[in-house]
Amino acid sequence: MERWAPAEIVSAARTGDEAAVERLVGAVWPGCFRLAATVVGDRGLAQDAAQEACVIVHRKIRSLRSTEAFDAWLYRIVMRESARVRRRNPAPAEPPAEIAGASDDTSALDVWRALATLPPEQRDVVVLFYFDDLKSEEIAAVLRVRHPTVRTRLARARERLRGLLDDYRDETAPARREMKQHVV
Amino acid sequence: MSFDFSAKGRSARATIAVPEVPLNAIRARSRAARAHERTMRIAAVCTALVVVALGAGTGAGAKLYSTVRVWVSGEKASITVSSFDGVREPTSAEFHDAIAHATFPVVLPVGLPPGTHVTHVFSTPARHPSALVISYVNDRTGLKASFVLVDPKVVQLGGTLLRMQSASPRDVYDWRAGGELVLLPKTVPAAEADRLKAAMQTATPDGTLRATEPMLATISALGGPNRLELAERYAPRNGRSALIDRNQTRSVAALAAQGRPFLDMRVFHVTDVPYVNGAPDYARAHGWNARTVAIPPGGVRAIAAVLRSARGAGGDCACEVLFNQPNAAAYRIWTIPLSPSADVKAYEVDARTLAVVSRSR
Repeated sequence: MERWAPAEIVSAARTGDEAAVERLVGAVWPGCFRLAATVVGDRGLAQDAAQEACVIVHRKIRSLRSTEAFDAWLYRIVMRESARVRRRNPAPAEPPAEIAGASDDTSALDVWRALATLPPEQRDVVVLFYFDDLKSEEIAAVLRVRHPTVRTRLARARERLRGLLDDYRDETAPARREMKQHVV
Repeated sequence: MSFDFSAKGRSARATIAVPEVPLNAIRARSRAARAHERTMRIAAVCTALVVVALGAGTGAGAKLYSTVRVWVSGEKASITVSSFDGVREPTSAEFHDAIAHATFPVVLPVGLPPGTHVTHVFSTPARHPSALVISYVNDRTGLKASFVLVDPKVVQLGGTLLRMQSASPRDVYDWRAGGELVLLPKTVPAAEADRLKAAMQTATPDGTLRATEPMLATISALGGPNRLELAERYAPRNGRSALIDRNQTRSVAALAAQGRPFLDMRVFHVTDVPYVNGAPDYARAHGWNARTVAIPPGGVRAIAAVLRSARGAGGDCACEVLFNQPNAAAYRIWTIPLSPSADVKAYEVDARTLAVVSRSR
Protein backbone atom coordinates (compact mmCIF):
# COMPACT_ATOMS: atom_id res chain seq x y z
CA MET A 1 0.00 0.00 0.00
CA GLU A 2 1.02 3.59 -0.46
CA ARG A 3 2.41 5.16 2.70
CA TRP A 4 0.38 8.04 4.09
CA ALA A 5 3.18 9.26 6.29
CA PRO A 6 6.73 8.16 7.18
CA ALA A 7 6.80 5.31 9.66
CA GLU A 8 8.78 7.34 12.20
CA ILE A 9 6.02 9.97 12.36
CA VAL A 10 3.40 7.26 12.83
CA SER A 11 5.51 5.59 15.51
CA ALA A 12 6.04 8.84 17.37
CA ALA A 13 2.33 9.64 17.22
CA ARG A 14 1.47 6.22 18.65
CA THR A 15 3.35 7.11 21.82
CA GLY A 16 0.70 9.75 22.47
CA ASP A 17 2.98 12.74 22.11
CA GLU A 18 0.59 15.56 21.22
CA ALA A 19 3.03 17.36 18.91
CA ALA A 20 3.77 14.12 17.03
CA VAL A 21 0.05 13.41 16.62
CA GLU A 22 -0.46 16.86 15.13
CA ARG A 23 2.53 16.36 12.84
CA LEU A 24 0.95 13.14 11.65
CA VAL A 25 -2.40 14.83 11.03
CA GLY A 26 -0.62 17.52 9.02
CA ALA A 27 1.17 14.85 6.98
CA VAL A 28 -1.90 12.78 6.14
CA TRP A 29 -4.32 15.66 5.56
CA PRO A 30 -3.54 16.25 1.84
CA GLY A 31 -3.91 12.54 1.06
CA CYS A 32 -7.11 12.26 3.06
CA PHE A 33 -8.61 15.29 1.35
CA ARG A 34 -7.66 14.18 -2.16
CA LEU A 35 -8.89 10.62 -1.66
CA ALA A 36 -12.17 11.89 -0.22
CA ALA A 37 -12.56 14.43 -3.04
CA THR A 38 -12.03 11.68 -5.59
CA VAL A 39 -14.69 9.41 -4.18
CA VAL A 40 -17.30 11.99 -3.15
CA GLY A 41 -16.76 14.42 -6.05
CA ASP A 42 -17.29 17.57 -4.02
CA ARG A 43 -14.73 19.73 -2.22
CA GLY A 44 -16.98 20.72 0.67
CA LEU A 45 -18.04 17.16 1.39
CA ALA A 46 -14.46 15.98 0.95
CA GLN A 47 -13.33 18.47 3.55
CA ASP A 48 -15.97 17.16 5.97
CA ALA A 49 -14.91 13.55 5.38
CA ALA A 50 -11.18 14.32 5.60
CA GLN A 51 -11.65 16.34 8.76
CA GLU A 52 -13.67 13.56 10.36
CA ALA A 53 -10.98 11.06 9.39
CA CYS A 54 -8.28 13.25 10.91
CA VAL A 55 -10.30 13.65 14.11
CA ILE A 56 -10.35 9.85 14.40
CA VAL A 57 -6.60 9.68 13.74
CA HIS A 58 -6.00 12.38 16.37
CA ARG A 59 -8.17 10.57 18.87
CA LYS A 60 -7.28 6.95 18.32
CA ILE A 61 -3.72 6.75 17.01
CA ARG A 62 -2.54 5.87 20.51
CA SER A 63 -4.54 2.66 20.44
CA LEU A 64 -3.41 1.53 16.98
CA ARG A 65 -1.94 -1.96 17.41
CA SER A 66 1.11 -1.45 15.15
CA THR A 67 2.75 1.14 12.92
CA GLU A 68 2.43 -1.23 9.97
CA ALA A 69 -1.35 -1.29 10.39
CA PHE A 70 -1.62 2.47 9.91
CA ASP A 71 -2.00 2.58 6.13
CA ALA A 72 -4.84 0.08 5.93
CA TRP A 73 -6.48 1.67 8.98
CA LEU A 74 -6.47 5.14 7.48
CA TYR A 75 -7.77 3.91 4.13
CA ARG A 76 -10.67 2.29 5.97
CA ILE A 77 -11.39 5.45 7.92
CA VAL A 78 -11.30 7.80 4.93
CA MET A 79 -13.46 5.52 2.80
CA ARG A 80 -15.94 5.02 5.61
CA GLU A 81 -16.22 8.73 6.35
CA SER A 82 -16.52 9.51 2.65
CA ALA A 83 -19.33 7.01 2.35
CA ARG A 84 -20.99 8.59 5.35
CA VAL A 85 -20.98 12.13 3.97
CA ARG A 86 -22.06 10.82 0.59
CA ARG A 87 -25.06 9.09 2.15
CA ARG A 88 -26.07 12.31 3.89
CA ASN A 89 -25.51 14.44 0.79
CA PRO A 90 -26.06 12.59 -2.47
CA ALA A 91 -23.26 13.50 -4.85
CA PRO A 92 -23.87 16.11 -7.54
CA ALA A 93 -24.68 14.71 -10.98
CA GLU A 94 -21.73 16.53 -12.54
CA PRO A 95 -18.53 16.96 -10.58
CA PRO A 96 -17.74 20.62 -10.07
CA ALA A 97 -15.03 21.92 -12.36
CA GLU A 98 -13.03 23.18 -9.38
CA ILE A 99 -12.35 19.59 -8.33
CA ALA A 100 -10.09 19.38 -11.37
CA GLY A 101 -8.02 22.12 -9.81
CA ALA A 102 -5.81 24.50 -11.74
CA SER A 103 -4.87 21.91 -14.32
CA ASP A 104 -5.18 22.89 -17.96
CA ASP A 105 -5.44 19.24 -18.83
CA THR A 106 -9.01 18.72 -19.99
CA SER A 107 -8.60 14.99 -19.56
CA ALA A 108 -8.51 15.54 -15.80
CA LEU A 109 -12.03 16.91 -15.95
CA ASP A 110 -13.04 13.96 -18.09
CA VAL A 111 -11.68 11.61 -15.42
CA TRP A 112 -13.92 13.24 -12.82
CA ARG A 113 -16.89 13.12 -15.17
CA ALA A 114 -16.28 9.47 -15.84
CA LEU A 115 -15.99 8.68 -12.15
CA ALA A 116 -19.16 10.60 -11.41
CA THR A 117 -21.13 8.33 -13.73
CA LEU A 118 -20.23 5.29 -11.65
CA PRO A 119 -22.37 4.11 -8.76
CA PRO A 120 -20.58 4.92 -5.48
CA GLU A 121 -19.57 1.35 -4.71
CA GLN A 122 -17.96 0.97 -8.15
CA ARG A 123 -16.29 4.38 -7.90
CA ASP A 124 -14.70 3.38 -4.60
CA VAL A 125 -13.07 0.25 -6.00
CA VAL A 126 -11.95 2.01 -9.18
CA VAL A 127 -10.27 4.79 -7.21
CA LEU A 128 -8.53 2.40 -4.83
CA PHE A 129 -7.49 0.03 -7.61
CA TYR A 130 -6.36 2.47 -10.29
CA PHE A 131 -5.36 5.60 -8.38
CA ASP A 132 -4.03 4.05 -5.19
CA ASP A 133 -2.69 0.81 -6.62
CA LEU A 134 -4.35 -1.32 -3.98
CA LYS A 135 -4.75 -4.99 -4.72
CA SER A 136 -8.27 -6.31 -4.84
CA GLU A 137 -7.72 -8.26 -1.59
CA GLU A 138 -6.62 -5.04 0.09
CA ILE A 139 -9.65 -3.20 -1.30
CA ALA A 140 -11.87 -5.94 0.09
CA ALA A 141 -10.31 -5.40 3.51
CA VAL A 142 -10.60 -1.61 3.31
CA LEU A 143 -14.24 -1.65 2.22
CA ARG A 144 -15.09 -4.67 4.35
CA VAL A 145 -16.63 -6.58 1.48
CA ARG A 146 -15.83 -10.00 0.06
CA HIS A 147 -13.03 -10.35 -2.45
CA PRO A 148 -15.30 -11.58 -5.28
CA THR A 149 -17.50 -8.55 -4.71
CA VAL A 150 -14.56 -6.26 -5.40
CA ARG A 151 -13.75 -8.12 -8.60
CA THR A 152 -17.36 -7.93 -9.76
CA ARG A 153 -17.57 -4.21 -9.07
CA LEU A 154 -14.30 -3.63 -10.83
CA ALA A 155 -15.42 -5.57 -13.88
CA ARG A 156 -18.69 -3.69 -14.10
CA ALA A 157 -16.93 -0.35 -13.64
CA ARG A 158 -14.43 -1.19 -16.38
CA GLU A 159 -17.26 -2.07 -18.71
CA ARG A 160 -18.93 1.24 -18.05
CA LEU A 161 -15.75 3.30 -18.26
CA ARG A 162 -14.57 1.60 -21.41
CA GLY A 163 -17.24 3.36 -23.42
CA LEU A 164 -16.89 6.64 -21.59
CA LEU A 165 -13.15 6.96 -21.97
CA ASP A 166 -12.83 5.64 -25.50
CA ASP A 167 -11.40 8.96 -26.60
CA TYR A 168 -8.50 8.39 -24.27
CA ARG A 169 -7.76 4.85 -25.29
CA ASP A 170 -4.07 4.58 -25.79
CA GLU A 171 -3.70 4.61 -29.56
CA THR A 172 -0.16 3.38 -29.35
CA ALA A 173 -1.09 0.28 -27.39
CA PRO A 174 -1.48 -2.07 -30.39
CA ALA A 175 1.81 -0.87 -31.81
CA ARG A 176 3.53 -1.39 -28.46
CA ARG A 177 2.08 -4.87 -28.13
CA GLU A 178 3.34 -5.74 -31.57
CA MET A 179 6.76 -4.33 -30.78
CA LYS A 180 6.89 -6.35 -27.56
CA GLN A 181 6.09 -9.55 -29.44
CA HIS A 182 8.92 -8.90 -31.86
CA VAL A 183 11.40 -8.00 -29.18
CA VAL A 184 10.53 -10.94 -27.00
CA MET B 1 -8.33 0.12 -19.61
CA SER B 2 -5.24 0.29 -17.49
CA PHE B 3 -3.52 1.77 -20.56
CA ASP B 4 -3.42 5.25 -19.06
CA PHE B 5 -6.43 5.58 -16.82
CA SER B 6 -4.34 5.07 -13.70
CA ALA B 7 -1.82 7.68 -14.74
CA LYS B 8 -4.54 10.11 -15.81
CA GLY B 9 -6.41 9.60 -12.57
CA ARG B 10 -3.35 9.98 -10.40
CA SER B 11 -2.21 13.11 -12.16
CA ALA B 12 -5.77 14.53 -12.05
CA ARG B 13 -5.90 13.86 -8.33
CA ALA B 14 -2.51 15.44 -7.77
CA THR B 15 -3.83 18.71 -9.21
CA ILE B 16 -6.61 18.97 -6.60
CA ALA B 17 -5.84 22.03 -4.51
CA VAL B 18 -5.79 21.04 -0.84
CA PRO B 19 -7.20 23.46 1.73
CA GLU B 20 -5.18 24.22 4.82
CA VAL B 21 -5.41 21.55 7.49
CA PRO B 22 -8.06 22.68 10.03
CA LEU B 23 -5.92 21.68 12.99
CA ASN B 24 -7.77 23.74 15.57
CA ALA B 25 -11.10 22.20 14.64
CA ILE B 26 -9.61 18.70 14.55
CA ARG B 27 -7.99 19.21 17.93
CA ALA B 28 -11.18 20.58 19.51
CA ARG B 29 -13.42 17.87 18.07
CA SER B 30 -11.00 15.15 19.06
CA ARG B 31 -11.01 16.36 22.65
CA ALA B 32 -14.79 16.64 22.72
CA ALA B 33 -15.10 13.12 21.34
CA ARG B 34 -12.63 11.81 23.91
CA ALA B 35 -14.67 13.39 26.67
CA HIS B 36 -17.78 11.77 25.24
CA GLU B 37 -16.07 8.38 25.12
CA ARG B 38 -14.98 8.82 28.71
CA THR B 39 -18.57 9.52 29.63
CA MET B 40 -19.72 6.42 27.81
CA ARG B 41 -17.13 4.32 29.61
CA ILE B 42 -18.31 5.67 32.93
CA ALA B 43 -21.88 4.97 31.88
CA ALA B 44 -20.96 1.40 31.05
CA VAL B 45 -19.34 0.99 34.45
CA CYS B 46 -22.39 2.45 36.15
CA THR B 47 -24.68 0.14 34.25
CA ALA B 48 -22.59 -2.76 35.43
CA LEU B 49 -22.98 -1.43 38.93
CA VAL B 50 -26.74 -1.49 38.58
CA VAL B 51 -26.54 -5.11 37.47
CA VAL B 52 -24.39 -5.96 40.44
CA ALA B 53 -26.72 -3.96 42.59
CA LEU B 54 -29.62 -6.15 41.76
CA GLY B 55 -27.82 -9.31 42.64
CA ALA B 56 -26.48 -7.86 45.83
CA GLY B 57 -29.64 -6.18 46.89
CA THR B 58 -31.93 -9.11 46.56
CA GLY B 59 -29.70 -12.06 47.22
CA ALA B 60 -31.78 -14.19 44.94
CA GLY B 61 -33.13 -13.57 41.48
CA ALA B 62 -34.27 -10.10 40.54
CA LYS B 63 -35.97 -8.28 37.79
CA LEU B 64 -36.14 -4.60 37.18
CA TYR B 65 -39.06 -3.30 35.25
CA SER B 66 -39.70 -0.15 33.31
CA THR B 67 -36.67 0.82 31.25
CA VAL B 68 -34.29 -0.38 33.90
CA ARG B 69 -34.76 -4.07 33.67
CA VAL B 70 -32.88 -7.25 34.18
CA TRP B 71 -33.94 -10.61 32.98
CA VAL B 72 -32.47 -13.97 33.62
CA SER B 73 -31.58 -16.29 30.82
CA GLY B 74 -29.90 -19.44 32.00
CA GLU B 75 -26.85 -18.28 33.88
CA LYS B 76 -26.44 -15.02 32.05
CA ALA B 77 -27.85 -11.84 33.46
CA SER B 78 -28.61 -8.96 31.15
CA ILE B 79 -29.70 -5.45 31.82
CA THR B 80 -31.70 -3.09 29.72
CA VAL B 81 -31.04 0.56 30.22
CA SER B 82 -32.69 2.19 27.27
CA SER B 83 -31.98 5.78 28.23
CA PHE B 84 -30.16 7.85 30.80
CA ASP B 85 -29.15 11.40 31.54
CA GLY B 86 -25.89 12.43 33.09
CA VAL B 87 -24.09 15.46 34.38
CA ARG B 88 -20.39 15.88 35.01
CA GLU B 89 -19.37 18.10 37.95
CA PRO B 90 -23.00 19.04 38.60
CA THR B 91 -23.97 22.36 40.05
CA SER B 92 -26.70 22.58 42.66
CA ALA B 93 -29.42 23.35 40.10
CA GLU B 94 -28.31 20.50 37.86
CA PHE B 95 -28.18 18.06 40.76
CA HIS B 96 -31.65 19.04 41.94
CA ASP B 97 -32.91 18.61 38.40
CA ALA B 98 -31.36 15.14 38.15
CA ILE B 99 -33.05 13.78 41.25
CA ALA B 100 -36.25 15.84 41.23
CA HIS B 101 -38.34 13.37 39.25
CA ALA B 102 -37.01 10.16 40.78
CA THR B 103 -39.69 7.56 41.41
CA PHE B 104 -38.58 7.19 45.05
CA PRO B 105 -37.69 9.57 47.91
CA VAL B 106 -33.95 9.86 47.44
CA VAL B 107 -31.77 9.47 50.52
CA LEU B 108 -28.38 10.68 49.35
CA PRO B 109 -25.08 9.39 50.71
CA VAL B 110 -24.04 11.25 53.85
CA GLY B 111 -21.14 10.92 56.25
CA LEU B 112 -18.55 11.31 53.52
CA PRO B 113 -15.26 12.93 54.60
CA PRO B 114 -14.86 16.73 54.30
CA GLY B 115 -13.58 17.87 50.91
CA THR B 116 -15.57 15.24 49.00
CA HIS B 117 -17.29 16.43 45.85
CA VAL B 118 -19.75 14.95 43.40
CA THR B 119 -18.19 14.17 40.00
CA HIS B 120 -21.08 12.56 38.13
CA VAL B 121 -24.77 11.91 38.41
CA PHE B 122 -26.52 9.43 36.13
CA SER B 123 -30.26 8.96 36.19
CA THR B 124 -32.08 6.19 34.41
CA PRO B 125 -34.60 6.08 32.83
CA ALA B 126 -33.97 9.60 31.70
CA ARG B 127 -37.11 11.47 32.76
CA HIS B 128 -38.37 9.59 35.80
CA PRO B 129 -35.36 7.73 37.13
CA SER B 130 -35.82 4.58 39.12
CA ALA B 131 -32.05 4.27 39.52
CA LEU B 132 -29.42 6.91 40.24
CA VAL B 133 -25.67 6.52 40.14
CA ILE B 134 -23.76 9.21 42.01
CA SER B 135 -19.96 9.30 41.94
CA TYR B 136 -17.86 11.02 44.59
CA VAL B 137 -14.18 11.87 44.79
CA ASN B 138 -12.10 13.18 47.65
CA ASP B 139 -8.61 14.25 46.60
CA ARG B 140 -7.41 14.54 50.19
CA THR B 141 -8.37 11.05 51.33
CA GLY B 142 -8.20 9.36 47.92
CA LEU B 143 -11.85 8.31 48.19
CA LYS B 144 -13.50 7.29 44.93
CA ALA B 145 -16.95 5.83 45.30
CA SER B 146 -20.03 5.39 43.17
CA PHE B 147 -23.31 4.84 44.96
CA VAL B 148 -26.23 3.21 43.19
CA LEU B 149 -29.61 4.18 44.57
CA VAL B 150 -32.47 2.05 43.27
CA ASP B 151 -36.21 2.22 43.69
CA PRO B 152 -37.11 -1.09 45.39
CA LYS B 153 -40.47 -1.09 43.61
CA VAL B 154 -38.79 -1.97 40.33
CA VAL B 155 -37.01 -4.92 41.86
CA GLN B 156 -38.96 -8.14 41.98
CA LEU B 157 -37.78 -10.69 44.46
CA GLY B 158 -37.79 -14.39 43.84
CA GLY B 159 -37.31 -16.33 40.67
CA THR B 160 -34.21 -17.91 39.31
CA LEU B 161 -30.90 -17.28 40.99
CA LEU B 162 -29.23 -14.37 39.29
CA ARG B 163 -25.61 -15.06 38.52
CA MET B 164 -23.24 -12.46 37.27
CA GLN B 165 -20.73 -13.20 34.56
CA SER B 166 -18.64 -10.08 34.71
CA ALA B 167 -19.28 -8.80 38.18
CA SER B 168 -20.06 -10.46 41.42
CA PRO B 169 -22.56 -9.33 44.07
CA ARG B 170 -19.87 -10.22 46.59
CA ASP B 171 -18.01 -7.11 45.41
CA VAL B 172 -20.77 -4.79 46.56
CA TYR B 173 -22.13 -3.61 49.93
CA ASP B 174 -25.88 -3.23 50.03
CA TRP B 175 -28.39 -1.85 52.46
CA ARG B 176 -31.79 -0.26 52.65
CA ALA B 177 -32.12 3.42 53.53
CA GLY B 178 -35.59 4.95 53.72
CA GLY B 179 -37.44 3.85 50.61
CA GLU B 180 -34.44 2.92 48.53
CA LEU B 181 -31.92 0.19 47.96
CA VAL B 182 -28.32 1.42 48.26
CA LEU B 183 -25.38 -0.30 46.63
CA LEU B 184 -21.75 0.56 47.01
CA PRO B 185 -18.88 -1.28 45.30
CA LYS B 186 -16.28 -2.49 47.74
CA THR B 187 -13.82 0.27 46.95
CA VAL B 188 -14.07 1.51 50.52
CA PRO B 189 -13.17 -0.42 53.69
CA ALA B 190 -15.96 -2.32 55.43
CA ALA B 191 -15.81 -0.07 58.52
CA GLU B 192 -16.24 3.00 56.35
CA ALA B 193 -19.17 1.38 54.56
CA ASP B 194 -20.79 0.57 57.91
CA ARG B 195 -20.39 4.18 58.99
CA LEU B 196 -21.96 5.46 55.75
CA LYS B 197 -24.78 2.93 56.07
CA ALA B 198 -25.54 4.04 59.62
CA ALA B 199 -25.51 7.71 58.60
CA MET B 200 -27.86 7.13 55.68
CA GLN B 201 -30.28 4.94 57.64
CA THR B 202 -30.90 7.68 60.18
CA ALA B 203 -31.14 10.53 57.66
CA THR B 204 -34.07 12.07 55.84
CA PRO B 205 -34.18 12.88 52.12
CA ASP B 206 -34.24 16.65 52.76
CA GLY B 207 -31.43 16.42 55.29
CA THR B 208 -29.20 14.47 52.91
CA LEU B 209 -29.89 16.97 50.13
CA ARG B 210 -28.76 19.81 52.40
CA ALA B 211 -25.65 17.85 53.34
CA THR B 212 -24.87 17.28 49.67
CA GLU B 213 -24.98 20.98 48.70
CA PRO B 214 -21.38 21.72 49.77
CA MET B 215 -20.22 18.78 47.63
CA LEU B 216 -21.63 20.30 44.43
CA ALA B 217 -19.77 22.58 42.02
CA THR B 218 -20.54 26.28 42.26
CA ILE B 219 -19.07 27.02 38.84
CA SER B 220 -19.26 25.34 35.44
CA ALA B 221 -16.15 23.20 35.01
CA LEU B 222 -15.36 22.97 31.29
CA GLY B 223 -13.05 20.23 30.04
CA GLY B 224 -11.37 18.43 32.91
CA PRO B 225 -9.93 21.10 35.21
CA ASN B 226 -7.63 20.09 38.04
CA ARG B 227 -7.98 23.26 40.11
CA LEU B 228 -11.75 23.30 40.58
CA GLU B 229 -11.59 23.41 44.35
CA LEU B 230 -9.20 26.37 44.34
CA ALA B 231 -11.19 28.15 41.62
CA GLU B 232 -14.35 27.85 43.69
CA ARG B 233 -12.65 29.83 46.45
CA TYR B 234 -12.07 32.72 44.06
CA ALA B 235 -15.34 32.61 42.12
CA PRO B 236 -17.74 35.37 43.16
CA ARG B 237 -21.25 34.34 44.08
CA ASN B 238 -22.79 36.80 41.65
CA GLY B 239 -22.78 36.48 37.87
CA ARG B 240 -21.98 33.34 35.95
CA SER B 241 -18.63 31.67 36.46
CA ALA B 242 -16.84 29.02 34.45
CA LEU B 243 -13.47 27.33 34.74
CA ILE B 244 -11.64 26.17 31.61
CA ASP B 245 -8.87 23.60 31.75
CA ARG B 246 -5.39 23.99 30.32
CA ASN B 247 -6.21 22.25 27.03
CA GLN B 248 -9.05 24.63 26.44
CA THR B 249 -6.91 27.67 27.13
CA ARG B 250 -4.95 26.64 24.04
CA SER B 251 -8.01 27.15 21.87
CA VAL B 252 -8.87 30.57 23.29
CA ALA B 253 -7.01 32.51 20.59
CA ALA B 254 -8.67 30.58 17.77
CA LEU B 255 -12.16 30.88 19.26
CA ALA B 256 -11.65 34.59 19.89
CA ALA B 257 -10.56 35.12 16.30
CA GLN B 258 -13.64 33.29 15.06
CA GLY B 259 -16.00 35.08 17.45
CA ARG B 260 -17.15 31.79 18.96
CA PRO B 261 -18.15 31.03 22.56
CA PHE B 262 -17.01 28.31 24.96
CA LEU B 263 -19.78 25.75 25.16
CA ASP B 264 -20.79 23.90 28.28
CA MET B 265 -21.29 20.26 27.33
CA ARG B 266 -21.32 18.66 30.78
CA VAL B 267 -24.94 17.60 30.57
CA PHE B 268 -25.57 14.66 28.29
CA HIS B 269 -28.45 12.48 27.26
CA VAL B 270 -28.38 8.96 25.89
CA THR B 271 -31.38 7.23 24.37
CA ASP B 272 -32.09 4.23 22.18
CA VAL B 273 -29.31 2.13 23.66
CA PRO B 274 -29.16 -0.97 21.46
CA TYR B 275 -28.29 -4.37 22.87
CA VAL B 276 -25.98 -6.91 21.33
CA ASN B 277 -26.03 -10.37 22.89
CA GLY B 278 -27.63 -8.91 25.97
CA ALA B 279 -24.99 -6.22 26.46
CA PRO B 280 -25.59 -2.53 25.86
CA ASP B 281 -23.74 -1.15 22.83
CA TYR B 282 -23.19 2.46 23.83
CA ALA B 283 -21.20 3.18 20.70
CA ARG B 284 -24.39 2.87 18.67
CA ALA B 285 -26.68 4.60 21.14
CA HIS B 286 -28.16 7.95 20.32
CA GLY B 287 -26.32 10.38 22.54
CA TRP B 288 -25.86 14.11 22.60
CA ASN B 289 -24.49 16.76 24.86
CA ALA B 290 -26.45 19.82 25.82
CA ARG B 291 -24.63 22.80 24.35
CA THR B 292 -25.19 25.90 26.37
CA VAL B 293 -23.00 28.94 26.15
CA ALA B 294 -20.71 29.01 29.18
CA ILE B 295 -18.52 31.89 28.08
CA PRO B 296 -19.89 34.21 25.39
CA PRO B 297 -17.71 35.40 22.48
CA GLY B 298 -17.00 38.66 24.29
CA GLY B 299 -15.76 36.73 27.32
CA VAL B 300 -13.54 34.57 25.14
CA ARG B 301 -11.99 37.72 23.64
CA ALA B 302 -11.45 39.03 27.17
CA ILE B 303 -9.65 35.80 28.17
CA ALA B 304 -7.55 36.04 25.01
CA ALA B 305 -6.61 39.60 25.98
CA VAL B 306 -5.61 38.46 29.47
CA LEU B 307 -3.53 35.56 28.15
CA ARG B 308 -1.83 37.88 25.65
CA SER B 309 -1.00 40.38 28.35
CA ALA B 310 0.17 37.64 30.72
CA ARG B 311 2.16 35.48 28.37
CA GLY B 312 2.45 37.20 24.98
CA ALA B 313 0.79 35.95 21.80
CA GLY B 314 1.38 32.24 22.53
CA GLY B 315 -1.41 32.12 25.05
CA ASP B 316 -0.35 28.81 26.67
CA CYS B 317 -0.12 29.92 30.27
CA ALA B 318 0.23 26.44 31.89
CA CYS B 319 -2.82 27.44 33.85
CA GLU B 320 -6.55 27.07 34.11
CA VAL B 321 -8.72 30.12 33.64
CA LEU B 322 -11.63 31.15 35.82
CA PHE B 323 -14.14 33.44 34.15
CA ASN B 324 -16.86 35.52 35.74
CA GLN B 325 -19.17 38.12 34.31
CA PRO B 326 -20.55 40.26 37.14
CA ASN B 327 -22.31 42.68 34.77
CA ALA B 328 -22.50 43.68 31.13
CA ALA B 329 -19.64 46.17 31.38
CA ALA B 330 -16.82 44.03 32.71
CA TYR B 331 -15.36 40.56 32.94
CA ARG B 332 -13.33 39.13 35.81
CA ILE B 333 -10.68 36.61 34.95
CA TRP B 334 -8.27 34.61 37.11
CA THR B 335 -5.33 32.61 35.81
CA ILE B 336 -4.83 29.64 38.12
CA PRO B 337 -1.44 28.00 37.59
CA LEU B 338 -1.27 24.21 37.54
CA SER B 339 1.72 24.44 39.82
CA PRO B 340 0.48 24.81 43.41
CA SER B 341 3.47 27.00 44.27
CA ALA B 342 2.65 29.65 41.65
CA ASP B 343 0.32 32.53 42.40
CA VAL B 344 -3.23 32.98 41.18
CA LYS B 345 -3.53 36.25 39.26
CA ALA B 346 -6.72 38.27 38.95
CA TYR B 347 -7.70 40.63 36.15
CA GLU B 348 -10.58 42.85 35.20
CA VAL B 349 -11.33 43.39 31.53
CA ASP B 350 -13.43 46.18 30.10
CA ALA B 351 -16.14 44.50 28.02
CA ARG B 352 -16.07 47.26 25.38
CA THR B 353 -12.38 48.07 24.97
CA LEU B 354 -10.92 44.78 26.26
CA ALA B 355 -8.46 46.79 28.33
CA VAL B 356 -6.88 44.49 30.93
CA VAL B 357 -6.23 45.66 34.47
CA SER B 358 -4.53 43.53 37.15
CA ARG B 359 -6.46 43.22 40.40
CA SER B 360 -5.34 42.24 43.84
CA ARG B 361 -7.70 39.29 43.85
